[in-house]
This record gives sequence, C-alpha cells and structure tokens, in this order.
Amino acid sequence: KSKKASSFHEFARSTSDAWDIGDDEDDDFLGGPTLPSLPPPPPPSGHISSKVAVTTTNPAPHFQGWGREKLKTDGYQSNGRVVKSQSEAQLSTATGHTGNGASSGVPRTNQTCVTLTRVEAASSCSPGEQCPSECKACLIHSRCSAHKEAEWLPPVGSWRNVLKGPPVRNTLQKQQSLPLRPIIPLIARISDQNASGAPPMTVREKSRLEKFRQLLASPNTDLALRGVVARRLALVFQLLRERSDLKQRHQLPLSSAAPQWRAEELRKHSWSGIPREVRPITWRLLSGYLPANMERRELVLRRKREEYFGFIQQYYDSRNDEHHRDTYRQGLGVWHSFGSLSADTCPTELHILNCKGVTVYLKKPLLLPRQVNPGAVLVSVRAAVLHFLWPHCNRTHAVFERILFIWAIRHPASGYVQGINDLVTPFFVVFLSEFVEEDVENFDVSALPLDTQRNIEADSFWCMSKLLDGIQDNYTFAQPGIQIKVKALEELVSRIDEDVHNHFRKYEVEYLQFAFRWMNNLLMRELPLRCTIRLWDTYQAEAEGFSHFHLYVCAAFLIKWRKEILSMVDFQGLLMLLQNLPTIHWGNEEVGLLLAEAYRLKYMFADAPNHYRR
Amino acid sequence: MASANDSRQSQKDAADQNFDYMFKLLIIGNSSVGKTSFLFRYADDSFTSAFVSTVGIDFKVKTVYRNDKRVKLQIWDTAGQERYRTITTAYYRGAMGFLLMYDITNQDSFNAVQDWATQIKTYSWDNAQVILVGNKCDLEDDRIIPTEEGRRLADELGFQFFEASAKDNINVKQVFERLVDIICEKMNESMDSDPNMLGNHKATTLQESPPSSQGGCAC
Repeated sequence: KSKKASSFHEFARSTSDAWDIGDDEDDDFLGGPTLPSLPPPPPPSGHISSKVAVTTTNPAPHFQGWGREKLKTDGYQSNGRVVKSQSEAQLSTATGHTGNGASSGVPRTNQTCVTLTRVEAASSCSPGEQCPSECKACLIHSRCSAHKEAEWLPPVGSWRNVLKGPPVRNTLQKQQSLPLRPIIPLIARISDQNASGAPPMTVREKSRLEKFRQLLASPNTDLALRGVVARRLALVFQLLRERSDLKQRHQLPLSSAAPQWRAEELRKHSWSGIPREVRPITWRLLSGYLPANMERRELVLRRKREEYFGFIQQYYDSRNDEHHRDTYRQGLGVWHSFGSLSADTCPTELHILNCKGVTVYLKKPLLLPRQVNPGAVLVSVRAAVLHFLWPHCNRTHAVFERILFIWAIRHPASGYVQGINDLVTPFFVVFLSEFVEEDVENFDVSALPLDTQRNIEADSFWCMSKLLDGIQDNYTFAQPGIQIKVKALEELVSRIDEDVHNHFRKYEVEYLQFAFRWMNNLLMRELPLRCTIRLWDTYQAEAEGFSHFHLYVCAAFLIKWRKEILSMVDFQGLLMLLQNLPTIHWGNEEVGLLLAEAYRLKYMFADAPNHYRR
Repeated sequence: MASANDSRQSQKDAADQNFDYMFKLLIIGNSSVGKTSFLFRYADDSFTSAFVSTVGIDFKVKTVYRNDKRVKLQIWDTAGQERYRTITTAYYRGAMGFLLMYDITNQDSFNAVQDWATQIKTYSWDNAQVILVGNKCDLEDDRIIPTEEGRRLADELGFQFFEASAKDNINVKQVFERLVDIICEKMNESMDSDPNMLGNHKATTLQESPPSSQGGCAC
C-alpha cells in the first residue's frame, strides 16, 4: 500500500531520481535544499544518444516545435561529444532496432540480441532513409537529442527556469546509454478529433521515451518469470534498478528487494510519466489489477480474465435468450420512463418493477435493485459506445458495449452513467497499444488474434472497475462525489486565486456549470486523449489520484487559464471559454506542468484548510 | 464539434454586448433524441452522426434578428440521462423557452414527454414557452410516432409543435425562430399588463440581474 510523502522534502527526496541521475554536478544546480513551494519534478525526458551525429550534421533548420524548444535546440548542439562516449560505452548492450516503426513491437521483448555499431545507430533514424513514414518524428527527434539534458534534467525548483531556457550543464556522463531506436509518436497521433493534424510530439516526450527504452534494453533480467508479461515486468524492474543504481551508487540491496519495495519504486517513477512501451504492464500493476507478488501474477491474470468472460456468459450472452427477450424489449420502456422521473420521486425497486404497468423480468433480481434491466442497460450503453474513436469498427463497439454492460449490471447503485464510457477508452487504447504501433484510433481489433482481443477486453474491464471503485459516489444517485468535489474546487479556488473566484462571482458563473464535467469525466472531455493517458500515469501512481488529487489538478487547470478568464467580461464569454478551453495542442509537457502545479497546491492547501483563507 | 472558426465566431457572439434582448433557452428530452445535434445544426450549421453524450450541461450563444431587434439566445443543451437530473433541473430557473424534444423513431422518448412537461412546470418560470419537437423526421421509414399523435399531445399540453431533422436541416431554424416569436409575444403581453417588468437595461443586465432574470428584456 502506497504511503504518501509527508513533506515536500520527503517527496522531493523520494522522487528526485526520477529526474536527477545523481551526478555530482547536479548539486550546485539544485540550489541547495528544496523549498516547499517548489513544484515536483517535471517528466524526465531526455537522453543522450548516438543520434547526435545526425543532429550535428543537420542543424535543425525547420524545427516545428515551439519557440523555446527551438531556442534550446540551437543552444545545445555542442554536446554531441557526450553522446559519443555514452554510446561507445554501452554498445555491447545495444538494441537491434533500426527504425522501422511497424516492427518495433517485436524487438521490444527481444531487445538484447543485436549489437549495433554507433554509426549504424546514428544513421538509423536519418530522415527519409530507413523510416520514411516517420521522418517528421525523426527530424524532431534527431534534433532534440543534442540538448536533451536541458529537457530532462531540470533540478528541483529550477525547472521553470529550465523551460525558459537557462544554460544547463551536461550531467549525463555517467548515464548508461544505448543506441536509440526511432520514436513512434503513437500516442501523439491519437489526437482529438478537432485536430487538423496530429500535434507534434514534444521534444521532451521523445527524449524521455528514448531514455526509458535504452534502460529497458538491458540484458540483465535475472528474475525468473514466465511469459511475455513476466518478461516485461522484469524489464520494468530492471529499469528501476538501473535508475536506482545511478542515483544511489549501488547502495540498495536490489536483488533482495521485496515486491512491496518494487511497487513503491514503480509508483515513484510513474508519477512523472510512464514510457509507452511499459505503460500497459505498469498500469495493470498500479491499478491494483495485478498483484505486487510476482509469482501470483500470471495466475491472477488468467483467473481474472476467465472470470470476466464468465460474467459475459452469465449476463451478456443470455440477454437475448427466449426467456429474457421480453426483458430486453420491455426494458427500453422502463429505462426511459424511469429516466424521466424527477429526483424527488426517485424510484425504488418496486417502482421500477411496476413502472407504467410494465412488468420487468429480472434474471438476477437480487443483484439489480435500481437500474435493473439488462435490456435497459444495454440500450444506454449502446448509445454511448458510438464514440468518435473507432467510428467504423463494430468489433470495438461490441467490446465497449460488453465492458460497460457488465460493469453497469454489477454496480446497480450507479448503473450506467453517461461519461463512464469515456473512462474505458484510455485503458483500451493503452492495452491495445501493446499490439498496435500506430493508428490505434482506427485500428480494427478483429485483426488481432482472438486471445489477444479477449485479454485486452478483460484487462480494460478490470482496470476500469478498479478505477471506478475509488470514485463510485461520482455516479450514484444525485452524484454526491461530484457535488462535493465541485464545492471543494470552489472553496480551493477562493483561497488560491481570489481574482478568478471574484470574477466568477461578478459574472455569476457557477463552478458547477463547467466543473461538473471536469469531475464527471476526469477532464477527459477537456484534454486530448494522449494527455489523459499521461495524466492517468500520475493518477495511478498517486494514492487516491482519481478521487482526491484530481481536485488539485482541476484547480491548477482552472488557474492555468486565469489570464483568459479575467479577460472575459460577460457570462456567456466566460462559459464559452470554460467549456471549450484550447488544449488541442497539449502534450506531455503541458500535463507535466499542470501536475506539478497541482502537486504544489495539494502540498500547500490539502492539510491547511485555513491557508490564505480570508 | 465546432471548428476553430466556428468557435471563434461563437466566442465573438458570446462576448457581443450589443443586443436588445437576451433569452435563455433550454433543450430537454430523453437521452439520444438529438438535442445536441439540433443545437449544433442551429448554432454552427454542422451535423455529425457520431454520438458524444452530453455530460451535465452544455452551452451555446447565437444572436438573431427578429422584428428589427437583436436577440441574443443563450441556449443550454442538457444531458438527457436520468442521473443528471439534479444537475440539469437547476438550470430551468430563468429559462424563458424550452425545446422539448423526442425522437419520432423512439416510442419511449415520446412517452416521456408528459414527464418532461411536468418537470418544466415544477422547476421553471410560469410563463416559460415550450415547443414540442419531434426530431429525426428524416428517418421516415423508422417512424413510430405519427405526426398527428405528436400534434395531439402538443395541443393537450398547450405547446407549439414541429417535426424537424437536425440531420437534413428541416425546421431547425424555424423552431428557434418560432420560440423567439412566442417569447416576444408573451413578453409584450406581460409588459402591457405589468410595466414594472422592464427592470433590466442593457448595460446592467449582466452585473445586477441574477441568472434567473438574465433573459430579461432590455429595451
């Protein structure tokens, strides 16, 4: 069980190796002890690599990123020497991947068998050569590698400065490094529908991913486990071990580390973002779906998947049985007439059973006190799964339908509530991404082996269930969880930004008018999907991330727009703004900033109810 | 979803202070009868068959000209699902007009009209005007509710009646225009009988009036 850091110092200490590899040179840059008001670490992201060779011979002339990144790119190209030494030192453990995006899923589990020369690695991602389809990514990537330390090693407290582009010294001499593989901007492509094109992956994201990949490529997997899952797990822990080694100079007794310790480590590192490659397995662990005890994992996974398909058999497959056909048909009427009753006449079980004279046949009456009817549940679920992702994939719709149906049937206190469908999507996409390299949003799952499809479905169901377990009062009658959190948000904002709070009061904007959706859908409707996935890395790493930390993220999100908010001088303008916040271009960097600010707010305000109170 | 241009236009509309009246309107009805599509068709002249359920409440602004007056419509799009009822009924207050919508291919959405009408009576202003809209009239083959039945129910309830299609852009504009007209008529009646109703002036509407009177007349 994760324990929260009780002070910022603890937190900073416990997470510092997420972005600080422990080089001595960091120390003076850290600026002494950390201060309480400092934000937590930004996502560590950069990594030295042999690709600098490309960079230095191709000065970035048309870098598409944002201004400040361009600035830094120009400023740090001379660091190529570091790269050289790194890649030379680590050549023997190089990965064999050479830039074919479509095939990168295979070597991921088989990373230690091929040795590359530095030259090969350096040329592996030359724009337009071996990975023409990814050349834009490669271009950005090759440029970023030269200044990566500026991106991924901002010390505690100074990362705001880093983002403004201060000089940053190289801190990577001792960093283990492997020749890199090209980055597939998979997640960045799952862009909001409104995007005219996929936003470019930020430099930070790419270099961070690279670092993880390099570390993951270590051959030292001495954990005796079986199966793909086990191998991936071994890689995750290998990664953690290596990072700890770097930080703590081999002081930790890693080989004897207990599973609990590893789980803690995993949380700690995940807080600032999980690399895509290891995200599926890490999410399964963090959500509590997979047990910390490694020996039990394969067994638990198999049992849970079987259990899920047992539910399918029990509830879903029988929905059209002759005996239940009436249930299905009549259920529509019940659902809708029930749906139109007012709050004060909240129907009891009896109401439902006799609603408008419709007789409801219940297969599992004891399980279904309120939103009873499988047919009814199915109808509401079915409407919901016509989501804009996978618009043409019936198989995907069917998967979502089953997941939501089973969940709603098994959770009669809330039943299916609009918005819950959104919460399946990140899990589904992440688990699918284990098998699909690109174009996830249009991928037809039926192209995958049946077993794989079933595993993705079952895992998505269980992880979503785990998530919802923590926030079920968001979806029960009158949605008390949401009402409480919206009030808490209002209270919090009144303390942290009086101007914004008073501005809302002046123009009669109620928090419920915009923040309801923020709470109900965990900001999923406000952010591109890739950002939600990154956000959930942290939510799952943070104790009570979805139920509690989310509040501070919402507050930080609101304050992020304070300038725009204060410039709106009427009710309509404010509401239009708040319901259509321009996050379309957001990526990991913005989410990282948001989380840092949220952490700061939580640290300062969570246990200090009177702080700044007026 | 609105394109960038649309949303800029909408933002401009929203911030535009130059109007004679402002009416707060609500669209209500069962889940997936097409409330959001209807609003998108009207405000942005766009339609997508993709379904993204409304969570809580959504909001758009459109300015129209009626009888030489600039009328700013503040249109609230509500979530139809029962679980959101406590949230959505909070917005009935101050609404001057309602579009009560059902789906002509869905018996249950029609059966629920009576209940929705009760909701309006319970939670809204007495003089609020209501138009009953049978949406999706492009789906003639799947029709379950005959036009006459819709009209009869509207008469019973004392509502205006239209059949419409957000998809084929049938009667969308007309529904809103009609609603604006009957609100204007009602307002004139009220003003004749009670001149004190003229409380809100253009410059002060936003600052001084509670949300319930934001639709107040500003002339």
